[in-house]
Amino acid sequence: MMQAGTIRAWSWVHKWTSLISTLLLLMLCLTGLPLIFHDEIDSALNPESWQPAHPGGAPLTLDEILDISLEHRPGEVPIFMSFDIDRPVVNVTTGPAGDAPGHDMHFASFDLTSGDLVPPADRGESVMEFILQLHTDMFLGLPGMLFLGAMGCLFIAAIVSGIVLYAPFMRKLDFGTVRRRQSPRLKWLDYHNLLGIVTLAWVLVVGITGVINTLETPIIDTWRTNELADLVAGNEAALLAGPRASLDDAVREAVRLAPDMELQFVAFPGSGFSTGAHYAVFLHGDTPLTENIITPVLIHAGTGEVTGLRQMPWYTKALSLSRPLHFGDYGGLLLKLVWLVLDLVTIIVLASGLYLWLTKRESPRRRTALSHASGAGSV
Amino acid sequence: MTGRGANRERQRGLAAMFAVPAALFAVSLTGLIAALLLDGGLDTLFALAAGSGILALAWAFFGKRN
Repeated sequence: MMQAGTIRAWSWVHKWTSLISTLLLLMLCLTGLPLIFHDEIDSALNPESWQPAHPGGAPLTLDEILDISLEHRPGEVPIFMSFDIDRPVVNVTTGPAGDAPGHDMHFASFDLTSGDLVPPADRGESVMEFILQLHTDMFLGLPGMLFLGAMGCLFIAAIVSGIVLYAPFMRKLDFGTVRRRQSPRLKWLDYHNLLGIVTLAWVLVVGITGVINTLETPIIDTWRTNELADLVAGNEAALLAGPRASLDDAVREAVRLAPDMELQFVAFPGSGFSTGAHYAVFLHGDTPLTENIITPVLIHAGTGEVTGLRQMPWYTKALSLSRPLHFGDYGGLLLKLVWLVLDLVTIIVLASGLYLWLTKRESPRRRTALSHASGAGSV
Repeated sequence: MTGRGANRERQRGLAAMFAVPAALFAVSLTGLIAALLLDGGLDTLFALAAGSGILALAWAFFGKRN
């Protein structure tokens, strides 16, 4: 039997890690709900009606699309270029500088067959963006992300201490027992334990991947500093003054170097995903195991010199896998519905934990309750 | 009861308490990760495995006499 002192210590950890993080976790669970169905909401609000100007016609070059996009945004520089999978559309993100913050960036889509602007399918987008930013950094940028990461660490500590405390409470109870006919507090204690233990794998996965996602900025910065150091050293100051090398040639060369991979996006010189002087052409694998892992080919944007494929280190691969594992958007609608139910169950676990703490504070016999927890499986 | 006997009983107790939660943990985790890393044909099976905790809850609420 676990010693009363040990139980008390774990109870202290469980109580304080939970109390500090509960309100923020409730916010994360609530804002996470619509984010699970982001694609479905987006499609429902923006039914596809756009057609290319010249279906089946010869596509423009990427350099032409880039020039057209910069004509629309005079004074700005390109930051990212990405490619729609199911239609001939190229998306160009521009901004006042390569390292401009997200709210200063401008996103536009172009018809690859004509260079015309594609009307943005952005009905409901501002609401989803608001929810996503609240969920990601609470509009506080990097400090907000790191703060939520710290809350995630407390959540993980609360989960671990909850597993330890499950044992003394369940010593004399069968799995799944809910004592509904006794006090409301006992009933909710049993619900809290049951709902918490059956969702354990999911909350741990979502909690740990959430913490990893909050470290995105330091992870990408570390990758640039460590893995691209040799390229950054000689080129960071020599930002393009003259004509730039062909973007089409750069992308073609990248695809040639990685025939078993697919093009995902281009990061332009000065952006957070490249050096000050290179196109970083990102590709991803074509198997389920590798499709979330991106790998760049760096090409000097002045000379066109190709530096080759750069394998990403383990920490950026972990980040790449953490995104889908956190948002649950990788395994079809049924998995999203599982995510929805588990999210709702977690809200009940958080709320019932708060209820148990509030009712415990009213109890005049805490010591007696604790001894019951260790001896008779009840408080 | 001897110390060894008490120890065996404690271990049995822990094993009994955590048998179902540990099985649910393993099945859920396998489903969550397999859905990400393996081919799409078995997505339904992996989603059900990931949601095995929900099935256990349904049993506790509707199938089990408390």
